[in-house]
Amino acid sequence: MTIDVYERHAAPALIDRIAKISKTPQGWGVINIRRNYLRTTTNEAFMLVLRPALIEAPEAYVYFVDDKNIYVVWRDHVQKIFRLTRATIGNSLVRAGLDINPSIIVTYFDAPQQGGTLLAMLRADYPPVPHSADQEMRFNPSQNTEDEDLMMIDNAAPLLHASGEQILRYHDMRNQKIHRKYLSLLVVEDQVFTQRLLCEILRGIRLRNNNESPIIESTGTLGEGWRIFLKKAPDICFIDLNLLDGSGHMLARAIKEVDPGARVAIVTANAFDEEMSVAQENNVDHFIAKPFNKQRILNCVNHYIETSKGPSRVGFADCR
Amino acid sequence: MWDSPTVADLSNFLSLIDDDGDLAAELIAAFRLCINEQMHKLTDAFDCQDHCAWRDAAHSLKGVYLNLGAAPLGDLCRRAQHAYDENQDNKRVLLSEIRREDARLQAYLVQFSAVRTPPCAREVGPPVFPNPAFESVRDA
Repeated sequence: MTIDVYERHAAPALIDRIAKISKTPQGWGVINIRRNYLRTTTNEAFMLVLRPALIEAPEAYVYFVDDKNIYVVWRDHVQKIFRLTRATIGNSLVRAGLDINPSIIVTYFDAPQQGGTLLAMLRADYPPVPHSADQEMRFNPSQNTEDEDLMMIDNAAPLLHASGEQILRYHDMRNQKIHRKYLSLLVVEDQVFTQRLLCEILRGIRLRNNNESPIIESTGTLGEGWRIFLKKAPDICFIDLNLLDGSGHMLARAIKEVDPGARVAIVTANAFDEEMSVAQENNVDHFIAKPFNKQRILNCVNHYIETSKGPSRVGFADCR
Repeated sequence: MWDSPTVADLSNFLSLIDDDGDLAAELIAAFRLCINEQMHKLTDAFDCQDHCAWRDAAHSLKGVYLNLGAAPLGDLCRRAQHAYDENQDNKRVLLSEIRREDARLQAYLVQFSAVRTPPCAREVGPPVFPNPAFESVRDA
């Protein structure tokens, strides 16, 4: 086992590493650790505690990127080492008196699936800075505010941007899905009649075991839909194609870039082959043609429940 | 053999909302607002010869009509959407067809709102799901 620790120029080294491993099919794990929740320790002390958790990895890399973020990258035993590091951090490194779920502190990224997203996020947060050989790269919080330092999702509308902090918060929220006892749904549809009709259909869905109705957020614009998606990490996003401020395809693609596991259903009256092929390219999960059919919508929800780790614990859904 | 196609079949729409009469009335009000707005857009697009705006408005109308169950209007709007770059004469014909069919639909919805429960309507021939209440309003 080898563990390489980067304290100087950690961000560019991390970006290089993510670029390499995101091209490999599998076997790499990446976590982000929020340092502001941890006890104030030196990097050496941190490594002393963390090292045993990484013992089974043939190679591992720890990047002290800045005063807020530590990244750990390792090869093999991905799930096991992730659980070990999270437990180690939760048990030994969290600040005293801070009663917080370790999944808030540690965010896991699946390298083959989310490497591209992580790379884009890191490049946005840590742009290359010209520096002399002995100049240490330093994190400057003033250059990284949520409003100023925005990441553009590749080829998407200018509306579809997110800061690295927003994406991290999204992944935190996504990791909380397993604890939800209800479905969280997003409807993006610009026609008020159609939006209300779809919301009413969805509102009638009940989880079989606890009879919980879903929480539904709705909007008519791409920009607002994107904002809600990042903030709420909904279980399923129902997106119309022709929106006031852009195409639903762009929103679907941006969502899948941030989280390939997010569920997206396109709802459209344009059920043409070309629209379907664009949706397929974007890895959209469902394509629902108008007029709406209750059973198709219910199938879409049940497919999510069957194949996710979310509210599946409370069973399938029925319509009222 | 019917001489006239169905104006609208609301059975699917009503089943989507579990035949909730109050909700149906609310949604039909929202439907009317959407149609008015998009019809203005379609007319403006025709007047300005704006092909893209015509296509978008026709597409929006199509989705709203289809979800209510007005399939003939949905088909007309589909034709209009595909004909977005055709000459003004063809578009004028389509626009007047859409307006005429929409007027029939609005009249039907007025009747529907009055009796609340007809699952469908046909201008000629018996209704798909006979409803005495609706028939009595129509006969009157």
